[in-house]
Amino acid sequence: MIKIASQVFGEIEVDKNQIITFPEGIYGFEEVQEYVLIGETNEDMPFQWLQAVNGSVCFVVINPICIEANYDINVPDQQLKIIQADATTQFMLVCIVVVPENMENMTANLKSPLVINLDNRLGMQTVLENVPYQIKHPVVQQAKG
Amino acid sequence: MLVITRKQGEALVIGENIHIKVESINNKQVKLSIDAPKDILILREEIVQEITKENQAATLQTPNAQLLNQLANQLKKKNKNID
Repeated sequence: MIKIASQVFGEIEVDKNQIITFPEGIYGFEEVQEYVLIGETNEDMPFQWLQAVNGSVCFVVINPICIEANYDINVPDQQLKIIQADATTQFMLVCIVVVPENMENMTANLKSPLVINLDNRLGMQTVLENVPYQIKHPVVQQAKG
Repeated sequence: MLVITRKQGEALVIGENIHIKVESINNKQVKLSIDAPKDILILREEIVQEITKENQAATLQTPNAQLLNQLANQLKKKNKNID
């Protein structure tokens, strides 16, 4: 078990095997390489926290399928080399959420999801080309009409 | 930092296997061709800057253990309105 000084939860303990390692961090936070996911997701709760083990940052993340049911992406195998993935790898995708003052206007970065290899717990942030998804993709769909 | 001038048709080799060639130059644009191993991601700098900015913006919220519940409620509210 290791201790994390979380800005959100105070001091918490997590199992070492929960740690997800981002060998190259994420854009803007390249030196932060270890994270844990906090929170259980279900139908009513699509959000989780992505907490840096060193306590420096904590992101709100969401499963992109909760926003776009057809979120079907194709990351070229070679770009997944950093997380040692292949055609049989089990992945988890989460997108970082930005919450402005008016929560209704929250957005998620569906264009640059975090790809987590569930087999070895390595992660990376990738950038999708030629997709109809935005860096500031609205989370709450505006009702039509 | 290396600053180097190339004419149309000339190229650079970076490391062992990244080749950048100036394909054409016209008025305000330079067309480049880049030959690199497929595991190297090549992105427009402004995209990387935008994503970096967005990741940084994601950390500015006041940390609040109730936040996820509040966000989930926003979604429930919207779904109720649509139904």
